[in-house]
Amino acid sequence: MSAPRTALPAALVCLTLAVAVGGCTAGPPPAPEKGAIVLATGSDLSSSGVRRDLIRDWERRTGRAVRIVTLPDTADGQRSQLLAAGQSGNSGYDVLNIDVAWTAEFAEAGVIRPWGTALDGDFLGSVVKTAEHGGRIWGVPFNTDAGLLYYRKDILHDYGYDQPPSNWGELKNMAAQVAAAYNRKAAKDSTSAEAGKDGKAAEGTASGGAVPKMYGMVAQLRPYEGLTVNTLEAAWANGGDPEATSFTKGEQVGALQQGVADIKDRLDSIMPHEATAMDETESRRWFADGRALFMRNWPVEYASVAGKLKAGVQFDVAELPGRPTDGKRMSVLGGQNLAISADSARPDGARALIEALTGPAAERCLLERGFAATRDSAYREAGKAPVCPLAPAAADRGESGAARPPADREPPYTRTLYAALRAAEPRPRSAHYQTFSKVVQVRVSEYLGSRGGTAIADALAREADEALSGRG
Amino acid sequence: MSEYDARGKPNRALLICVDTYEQLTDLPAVRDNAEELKRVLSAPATDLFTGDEIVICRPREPWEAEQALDAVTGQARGLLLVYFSGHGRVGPDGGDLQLMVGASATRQRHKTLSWQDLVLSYLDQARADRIVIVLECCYAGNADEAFHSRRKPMSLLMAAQPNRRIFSGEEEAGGTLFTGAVVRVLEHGIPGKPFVTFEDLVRTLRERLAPERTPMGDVWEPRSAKQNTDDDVILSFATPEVRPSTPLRVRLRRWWKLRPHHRLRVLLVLLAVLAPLAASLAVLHARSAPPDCPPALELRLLTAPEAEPTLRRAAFAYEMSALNTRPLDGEDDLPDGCRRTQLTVYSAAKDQVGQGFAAADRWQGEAHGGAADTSAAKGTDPLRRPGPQPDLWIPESTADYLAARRTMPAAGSPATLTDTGPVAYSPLVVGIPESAHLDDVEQVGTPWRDLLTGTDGTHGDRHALRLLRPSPVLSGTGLLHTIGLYLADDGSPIGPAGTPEPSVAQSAERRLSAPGSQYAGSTELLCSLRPDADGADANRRARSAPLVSEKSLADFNLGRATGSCPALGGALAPADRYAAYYPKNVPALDHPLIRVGWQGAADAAPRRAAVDRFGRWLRDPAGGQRTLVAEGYRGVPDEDGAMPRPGAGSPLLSSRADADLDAPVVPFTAGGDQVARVLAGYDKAQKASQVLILLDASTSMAAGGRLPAAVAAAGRVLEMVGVHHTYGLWTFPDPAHPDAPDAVRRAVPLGSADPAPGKAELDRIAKGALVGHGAAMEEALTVAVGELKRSDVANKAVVLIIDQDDGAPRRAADVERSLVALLKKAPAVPVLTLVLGRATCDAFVFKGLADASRGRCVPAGPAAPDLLAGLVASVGSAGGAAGTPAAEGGR
Repeated sequence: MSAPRTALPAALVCLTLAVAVGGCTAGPPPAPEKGAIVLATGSDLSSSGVRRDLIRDWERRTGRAVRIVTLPDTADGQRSQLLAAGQSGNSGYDVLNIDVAWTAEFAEAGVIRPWGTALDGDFLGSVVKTAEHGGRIWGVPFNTDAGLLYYRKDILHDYGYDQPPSNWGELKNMAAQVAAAYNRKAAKDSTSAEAGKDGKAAEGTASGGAVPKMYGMVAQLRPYEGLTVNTLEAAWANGGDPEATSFTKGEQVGALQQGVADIKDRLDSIMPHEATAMDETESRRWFADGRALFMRNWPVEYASVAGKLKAGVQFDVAELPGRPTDGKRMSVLGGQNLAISADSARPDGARALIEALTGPAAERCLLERGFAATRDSAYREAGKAPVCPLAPAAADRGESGAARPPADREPPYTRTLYAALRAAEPRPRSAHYQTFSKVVQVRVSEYLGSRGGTAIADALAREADEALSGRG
Repeated sequence: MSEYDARGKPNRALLICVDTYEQLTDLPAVRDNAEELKRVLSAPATDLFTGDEIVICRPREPWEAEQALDAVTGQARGLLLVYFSGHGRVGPDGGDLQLMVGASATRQRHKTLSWQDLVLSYLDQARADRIVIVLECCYAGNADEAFHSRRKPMSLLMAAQPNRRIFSGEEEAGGTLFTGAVVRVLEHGIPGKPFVTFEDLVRTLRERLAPERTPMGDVWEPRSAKQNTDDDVILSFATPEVRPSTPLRVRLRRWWKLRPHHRLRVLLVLLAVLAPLAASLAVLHARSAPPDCPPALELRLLTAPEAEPTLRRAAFAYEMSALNTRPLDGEDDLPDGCRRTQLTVYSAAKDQVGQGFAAADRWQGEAHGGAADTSAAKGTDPLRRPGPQPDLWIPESTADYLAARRTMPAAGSPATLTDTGPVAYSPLVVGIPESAHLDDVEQVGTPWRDLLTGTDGTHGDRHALRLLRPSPVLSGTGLLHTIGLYLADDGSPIGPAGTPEPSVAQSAERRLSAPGSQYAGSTELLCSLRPDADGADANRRARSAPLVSEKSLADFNLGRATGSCPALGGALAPADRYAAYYPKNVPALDHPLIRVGWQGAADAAPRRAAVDRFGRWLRDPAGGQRTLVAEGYRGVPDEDGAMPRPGAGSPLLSSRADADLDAPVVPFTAGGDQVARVLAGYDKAQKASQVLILLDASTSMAAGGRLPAAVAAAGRVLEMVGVHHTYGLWTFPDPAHPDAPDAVRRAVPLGSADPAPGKAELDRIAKGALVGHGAAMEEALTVAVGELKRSDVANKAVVLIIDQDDGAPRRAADVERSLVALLKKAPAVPVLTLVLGRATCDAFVFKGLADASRGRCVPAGPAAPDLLAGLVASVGSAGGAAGTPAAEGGR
């Protein structure tokens, strides 16, 4: 390393300058906050446009500027940077757009400050839980998410099923039976087509060859956050309690064991082996390519699937299958909350921005543009819902065929999503959630890759509890 | 370091001594070892064991020792000392240490005591707090390799270093030389010390045995190892100094232990008095669970994509390790058992890491929310790529670190980089297809020069092999291979001052020059050679020779996950594997751990300590080295500087890995100037190139996150631009000519060497400047390829970024036909396509484009920008002797 003797004075100079600049922007004590409000977020802010449009709209109305700092692309990278910079006490952000699973950790690490007031009753009850920790509110729900069951409406209909399965057992049977019959028929068709083909080459037409094999289901089983989500949902579907703080007590161990055994059973019977390497995008690709009858995925993939399969005709979405005992259809809640950074020099501006971005009109805009809104009012029928003040998005004006029906501006899955959200539950709310998730990923993926079906729940539950307690 | 004091606890010492053998030479001196040790261990001065706590066992049959082990492991609660003195044997590979008892014979395993299977299994079940094992036998040093324990804290003293026999056992009276030394230390203590700990004993023995020699003529050096503990254990309270008084708790413990008949009475009285109190306390305790743990200190670990999976595993193991959850002296801020540190592991290509450190002020500035738009820094967005501000960086080799240091400003950078030394090695290799076995070339120790001529197709009836190297710009493996090719060409060691010969660089690059011969990293390169890869081509595989590391080649051969290729069921078929050839004196990847300090961090000191603690654990044979070795890396040198051979659990031991464990690990010795000169030499050996980026800017790109992906990929390609590597950026459709399908917008004309206008244009598009009518791909491509074919730069390519071809319905029949004809005509203009959105590379049209132009199609995904950059980086290397399409053997 080059001489620290030169580095240290330079550092001091920089520090002094930084303080001076900070002082200037913050202004003399009695004056209002100055300078742009710094909002730190993952890059998805720029991909959809609606969140950026909402921010620009607020800037226009208030005359205050917002500067967006783009964080690392991956959620893990975003969390790591925000947490470590917060611990080092030098982040300089005002508003943080954080994953709902991070609330407890960021609150306890002193990275975000308490919101200070209660959230109004319009926010969905399940979603509000993700902003709570230790009896206080730490942020405001920005957008939420719930897992849905995508299914091939056309094929299921052809084989006599007009309703999606109501529980996981039914799903497995339906998937196994329909996929087998479908593949038999496809094999027969392609042999006869082969025989019927003569000298005419299939030049320029579709890539030709056999129809891809149809599998029963795809889901996210690669060892990453998606596997934790699928594991929790499977445990809940077997009687697991989303509010339980320990996996080793009472019926939790049994539910966890049954849950992971169910996933393995589905993997070995109706899913392709490749599912152990699938994330949201990859599983959507399989489903959209016509290689699976069912898929567990978030609503955000709806548009991509609809690009290949005809929405409402070839495929549709439903709530996840329910648990046999009480019929509850529980999904893990996804989404993001907006929180004020502990270091913020512009807390009032930050608060005003967050309130605007999560207000009833803004949430309606989010819903219309493909996000899951966090407010009940956004889901009211058109006419009764708040009005989104934004002009239609560029994409909506776009090429022929790409536009959504202008009359009813909510996406077609909205009613299903609304029901799913009301039944959805947050992941374990712990300052040590990240380690818990790593434990689940490592152990469950080992288990899915193993040949035997040795029970792992006792060890997994113990390690999960250790992880959640912060102990090794 | 705390010392474990077992005084007054139920301790046990099991002394297994075998002096009489039925089939092996007797060891008369061992007879006295037992008596001597017992005398000292039970002496009042030692103050640890009582006479009845010491068991002497002289087994004839293995079960006798087993029975004794079973007994002491069940009885000891405090300290358990297990001592063996006798003959020892190992298997042909130096593993599987067998302790020999009276009836033992060579080659009769059932008549011996297996260290690994029997002794350690018993000890792992012991109920003692601490276990200390002393082995005095031939090959005692080999015990370390199998030394494992799931939970029990164990310390192991081995009489000599690995693979050594010892001349001992026939000394005159008073026991063997080694045990005699042990006895003396325990009996008399050490001057200046109040007691003798395990570590003290090891240290003193080393000093006292230093004048002795093993049968191999080197210094006799006792070794030690530990499992699940960092504490020290007191083995004797003898001291030549004034002896401190025995603490009250020890005296109480002894009193309690010695008077069993009092116990019941005391217990009853206490029970009567304390029961109500205890009950209320229990209620209180149940309510107040152990104190909550605060979030652990978050460390950001930046590494190369190749090392990311392994380091992720190691980091997770560390988080859950005892070392990370044990209270530390002076850092008692955490409740007991809480994790102190957590790590997030992420990776980025080498050039982006370099750019990140070069723009560290911006990295820090972004993180501080400071001003973003200084014009010089435009385009670099370090917080997005490479990612978070690292607390530690583990590049593939020291060369990467030296190269990054040179791009950093001499002063004023907010980042401080400190090299703490290597954590894992992997020698560099060139993989030779099994079918092309080089009979006249040794796998180990052949200079590069001979490897190059041995594979150039002029020898025997063999065809030339196509050498594939990861890009030296994007990959650490690629850079270090280039250093090896340029500086160790003749096989002589790389000195600190050597300069690359231009002719050597030129001729090496000629052998490597082939379009598509570079990849962003070694794993993606190998992934493209897998039999199950997209567009797999057996002919191409059999004619390729990848320049990679031993670790990644072993992963490939064994069918383990390699880059974006998932793990297979088992090893590849022999014909699909590559044998590792180790060019002579080429330095190995050494993965140095670079600590990164950031100016202004309020927690700089604990952060630094946390990084150092993790670094120590990574280098610890009982810690991170296990994970690293199990993943196919070679370990760091032990205390005496010897490079360890991969031990148990290393995939390199499998014959199907096709590695050669005799290949030496060559440390990195070149200096920063040399690295810079090699990079300059590489640049010079490149030919001028030209790339035309053709970007679909129709509104359908706005959907599904396609636009940011397209802009990111195009931006990554722009980073490859330089004086000799010019570009153009065209978009289509052209808003000015909605009715002309072949109209393109020449946003940046072909031949530009400045990436700035390109970046500005991408910024504009990223903000949504899209065109509302469909993109007619084939028409636009025809214009682009036509213009490039006319350009006088010899090496060129089109980078096509598109979601779908919207022009097909209205297209005249001859457009496609004439495009294909144009693509096939010389000079070659490969089309490198990135497909986003609905279509995939499997689509007929994109397959056709790649085939006709000898280009490639890259599927969308997180790796796409780097894959594309790797391909673009090799455009300039095309055009040499092997670069003509005919010599390409396929693509």
